[in-house]
Amino acid sequence: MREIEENEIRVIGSDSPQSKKWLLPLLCAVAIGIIILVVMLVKPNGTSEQISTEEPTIFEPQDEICTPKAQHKFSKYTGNESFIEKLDTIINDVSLSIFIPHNLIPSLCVGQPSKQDSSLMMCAQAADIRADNKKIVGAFVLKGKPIAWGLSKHGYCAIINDTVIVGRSENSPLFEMATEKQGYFFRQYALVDSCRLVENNLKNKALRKALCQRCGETFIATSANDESMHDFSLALVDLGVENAIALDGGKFSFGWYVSNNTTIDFNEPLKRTIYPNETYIVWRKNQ
Amino acid sequence: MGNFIVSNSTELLCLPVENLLYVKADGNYSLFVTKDKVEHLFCIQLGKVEQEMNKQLGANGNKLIRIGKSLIINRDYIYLIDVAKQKLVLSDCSGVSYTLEASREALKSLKDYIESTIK
Repeated sequence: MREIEENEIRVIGSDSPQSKKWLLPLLCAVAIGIIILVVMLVKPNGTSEQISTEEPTIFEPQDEICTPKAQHKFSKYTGNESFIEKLDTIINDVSLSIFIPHNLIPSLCVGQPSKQDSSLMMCAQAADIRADNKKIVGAFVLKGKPIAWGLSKHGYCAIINDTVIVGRSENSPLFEMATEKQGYFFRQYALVDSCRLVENNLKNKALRKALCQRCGETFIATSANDESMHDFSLALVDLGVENAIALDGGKFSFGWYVSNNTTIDFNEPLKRTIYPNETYIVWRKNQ
Repeated sequence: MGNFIVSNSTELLCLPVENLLYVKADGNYSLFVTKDKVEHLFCIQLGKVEQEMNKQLGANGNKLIRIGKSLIINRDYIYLIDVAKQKLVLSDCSGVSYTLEASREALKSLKDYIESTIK
């Protein structure tokens, strides 16, 4: 029998001290148990952008660790002209349009860009805005100045020294780098991470838009029809995209590109509320 | 609850448990006090008394509560627990009353335990 302390009591026959000293370790153990249980139950289904971790099988084809499938860029253009090249393709019955900026400077802006701005060659909505307070979702850096913080989506796009970097990470040093180097940074859903599909919980079908990187080429891919996030991401994977994040899509999203001196909307413009905190990724001519 | 028997090389003490008020440690001795005010100092350590109570009474001994290093009381005779004054009064409410001392924490635990048994 354990030695009793002066501040304890023990009921005869129970062999267990009735002191509050037992309460703290018991509560700690219960709390740790609950946390472990919650993590085990919630993690497989509760998080978005989850990569499958199933055991490998013999007959089911397995994803390969990223060895980029694509051997060459989509565009064969190597000149100095500044323009947007548009390509159309169908992958897995998903009709895609690909918009490749050539010799253009990428950046971010807050507020809807003007179609009268002749330097603008392409723009698309970037980070989302919250429905409740209409503020930018996730971390956002505008020309070196952080104007929003937080992690809500794991995908990111950083623009540093006019170079676009797309990836997926909970903590990216590129946020700090963007602030140091007068760059840009925003967060969005990751769709493709190192050639592997990233599962997201969004199940509805909509017009999809993504910022993609493949063979050193950065481009926007849009779906011609309403697609689920999964089908759209899978099409991008099969297209050979190495990294991709979502851009605000849907029929209410705003964005356009210039072709033959004409601005063409990504999708038919619909009447909608314009929010001051709407963010855009834009490509401009070098002036 | 039956009888509790404790013995050493020279003595044997047999007590009806329902008559036991408390047992108090006094060095290597234990003072047994019954509700008829009989006090008997027995050469046995309180820890050994507790062991014997566990052994002989088992769960039937749950009326008896060890409080700190120097007391075993019968909860049926608890009359007052004063945590602030560190006092515990045992009484049969018919003229027998003993005031004992214990640590605040132990008395608080005792109070909580008694309260938990009536809810």
